[in-house]
Amino acid sequence: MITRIARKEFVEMTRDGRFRWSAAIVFCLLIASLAIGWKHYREVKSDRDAAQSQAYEQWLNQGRRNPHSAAHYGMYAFKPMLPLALVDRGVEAYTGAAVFLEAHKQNEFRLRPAKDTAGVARFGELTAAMLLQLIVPLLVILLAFGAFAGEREVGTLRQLLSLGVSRRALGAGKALGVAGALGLLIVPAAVIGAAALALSTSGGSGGALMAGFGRAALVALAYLVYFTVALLVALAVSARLRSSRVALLALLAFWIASGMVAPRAASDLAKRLHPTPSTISFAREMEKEILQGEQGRNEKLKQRVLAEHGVSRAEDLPFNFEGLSLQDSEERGDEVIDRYYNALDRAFAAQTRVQELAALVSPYQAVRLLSMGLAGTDPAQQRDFARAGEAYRRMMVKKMNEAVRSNEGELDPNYFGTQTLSRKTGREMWQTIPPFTYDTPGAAWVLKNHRRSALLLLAWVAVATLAAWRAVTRLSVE
Amino acid sequence: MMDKTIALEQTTGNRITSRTLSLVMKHEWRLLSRDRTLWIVVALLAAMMAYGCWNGAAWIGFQRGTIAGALDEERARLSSMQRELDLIERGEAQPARFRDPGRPGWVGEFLGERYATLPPSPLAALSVGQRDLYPYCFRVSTQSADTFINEDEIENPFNLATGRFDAAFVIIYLFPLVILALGYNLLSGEKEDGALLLALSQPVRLSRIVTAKLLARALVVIALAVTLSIAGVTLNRANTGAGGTARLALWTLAVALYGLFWFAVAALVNARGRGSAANAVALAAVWLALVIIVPALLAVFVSWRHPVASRLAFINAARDERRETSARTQELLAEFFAARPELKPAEPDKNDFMSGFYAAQFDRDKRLAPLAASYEAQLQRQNDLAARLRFLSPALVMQSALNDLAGTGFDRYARFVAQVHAFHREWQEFFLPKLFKRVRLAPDDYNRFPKFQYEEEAEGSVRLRVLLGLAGLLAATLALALAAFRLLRRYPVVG
Repeated sequence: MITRIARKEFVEMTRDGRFRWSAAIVFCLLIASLAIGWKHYREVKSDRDAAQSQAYEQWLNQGRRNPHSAAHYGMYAFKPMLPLALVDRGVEAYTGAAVFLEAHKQNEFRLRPAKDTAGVARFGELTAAMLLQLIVPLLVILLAFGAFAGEREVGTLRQLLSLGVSRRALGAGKALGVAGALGLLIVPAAVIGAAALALSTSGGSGGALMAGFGRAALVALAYLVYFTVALLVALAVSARLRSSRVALLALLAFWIASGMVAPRAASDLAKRLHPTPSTISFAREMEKEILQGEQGRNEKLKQRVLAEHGVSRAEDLPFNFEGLSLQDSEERGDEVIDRYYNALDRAFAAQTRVQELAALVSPYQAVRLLSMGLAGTDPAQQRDFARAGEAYRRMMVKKMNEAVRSNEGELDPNYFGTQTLSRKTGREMWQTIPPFTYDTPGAAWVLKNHRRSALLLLAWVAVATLAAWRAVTRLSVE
Repeated sequence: MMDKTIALEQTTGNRITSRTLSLVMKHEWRLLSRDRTLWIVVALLAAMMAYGCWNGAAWIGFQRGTIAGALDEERARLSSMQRELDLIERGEAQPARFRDPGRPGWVGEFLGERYATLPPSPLAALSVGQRDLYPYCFRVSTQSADTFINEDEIENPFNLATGRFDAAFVIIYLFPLVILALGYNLLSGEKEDGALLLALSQPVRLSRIVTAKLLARALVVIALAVTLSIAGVTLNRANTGAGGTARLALWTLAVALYGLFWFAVAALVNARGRGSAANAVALAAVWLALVIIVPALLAVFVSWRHPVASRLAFINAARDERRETSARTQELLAEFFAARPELKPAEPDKNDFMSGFYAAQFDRDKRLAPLAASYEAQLQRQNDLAARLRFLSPALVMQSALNDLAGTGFDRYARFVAQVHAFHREWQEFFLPKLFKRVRLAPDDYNRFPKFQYEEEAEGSVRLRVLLGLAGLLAATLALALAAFRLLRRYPVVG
């Protein structure tokens, strides 16, 4: 019985011109967005890979100079991209792509790609994720709003039930019919998406391929759950409300609230509850505090070291005091930097929690966070990358300071100023710094990070199932 | 005589029709005022506008505070440096290590750096626009512009990607939905419950009824949006001068026209004679196409047409140049003095590495300038193209009009950046000759430091841009209304 109802629904829908048109348009948009995403991914990836290896080459070939100058010359780190970013670009457009790693300070990420696009981009990017998160549920609503309410209006519902069709069978059949029609659109798009992913991952190791597909499967699962929520909510509303008109209006209102109003309202609320400082005041205060810590400390350190070695002049020490002093001030500075950046990270994390809570009224928000997390394009992975960059910076600066301390290299005949810059080294020293590498966190890390969103999405399925069940079993013909 | 009769008949005719118009409107108003949906929708819109204005106000308040704080800090820093220099000149104090306020190189490069700020316009609280993405406060120094011009504001990228809940969002996205909710069953509803047939049995034309019903609803909704906008500005205590009032008037006009456009869409869809549910589906599709899909496609097209080259290429090119030039500083310094002999000091200082550094920087900047300018030029082209194509969607027209009126769009930012570049050159020209000539700053020089003041675009050209967009919107509205009335002539009242 269920299959018969499902087949009837399916045939009816696929013969409907409106469904054909809208499905064709959404399908074309999906394919176009995948193509755009693929092109974007290829460009950005080759761009960043090239820039990263070039940055290391520049480091190695900086010529003979003082290690401290080398630390000032510094290095750039570029955030790598996962193939899934072609489906969901997440916040990529709004995070910097590059961070400059140099002596004395932690730099901010720079070069947000969104700054290099026209203002029209603020309406949202055309990505597969946007279509799956916003447009497909709308299609589900259009397919399902009349499922029960429409039959009730024309009187066929009374007929059907009088034939002895069970309400549950009717509900299950309707759900399967709509799902089948939707599958006509989603399955081919998913196959093309998977092919694009496989193409993008090729060249990587077998392990990377498997991990990539594991993530892709999780993303697919998340969207499947999300579409199920949309379908069940639509059926529940259609079964509950008297006319198809009212059912449609209620569903559209829900769609707007979930996809437009709640996320934005949550963002602004999050910023109000957990404010972040302006760049200017953040930098100024941090600089001031680092500078305050400097004062007099160098002299105290010198007295202590001289006393320990029983000498009276820095020149008589068995090592270059400037190297020790540099590293000491670096580490004191790092304490201040850590304090400031940890506070900032905490504010961002608190903002994220508020935004996650928006999923209480918006399943869209839950799937959005999960999807960008699995695609490796969420703010948390940006922060993780920033931390890796900072750890690398400290390692690099420390090695250079140690080189100053142990007087590596030859004396520079033209040096002036302090003992810091008295010697020159070259490639043999630069080589001791390995190239910057970054391993993107695994899917388990991502899921743990987004457990609230995952749970809320599951809660949505549970609630929607319950609501649909209740509405269908109590289906009234009037 | 003949003419007089006709004229008389025409006036009576007009009187009758204008009386029916007001009669139907009154009737419609009575119906609406008893309709619970209207009040719920209106209350929701009002609540969301209020939340949007509150957010915008907080946001702009934060920016004002940041700018004021930066300028206070600058004033305090420069005056304390001036006092310190005064003491040093009189031999009553010694400069701290690396902090001598008399060295033009150090003062121009970091000790005395000045802020170039873009103050929010009077209506900024209504539309955050691009102000959360583009910086509004630069720390200008004698170093290359790329050391500060690419600075970003601290902002959670998730917030940026989501967008702001400001008054402009409510107007561009949600206001049309309210209109569509009130207009989707304008005729189909009355047809479905039989009232339309009854009404048309009276001596009244269908187009008259539609006009009256539309006007009644439009007055409610548009009056609401306009009131809320004005209330938003007033509540924000925005400092509206004469320019502000004119802009508020234009804002109001834009909101009203945008509302009328969506009413015309609703009328056209109703005129097709389908049922209410079919109308709702059609209107939702139109809204989706115009507000979501067209802008997204346009964004793709614009960045495909004028792609901005990878910024990463610039980073590495700049580093190559830096390594290259820093190895040849003495040579470049000699070249520099050959070109500007008046800046050559009487006796060179072996320990002065800054002159060499800046000679190298000039050389580097000169060679990187075409690449650096190409980014800004390409971005300008993108925005120009998007501006020409904004007529594809009323939402795009509104976005650019509201951002222009609020002073938060790209054009104002691009002007600001151009002025910052000019100020940067002025700043370099003030300090660097002194550095090369090895002249110390005098306390009095502090009063002559260049100061940045953003110069606004002529009000007329902003208005022209906005009015051009609105003219397009008006044309589209009229075309839709015309099409609706033509369709209405063949409206199937029965069946």
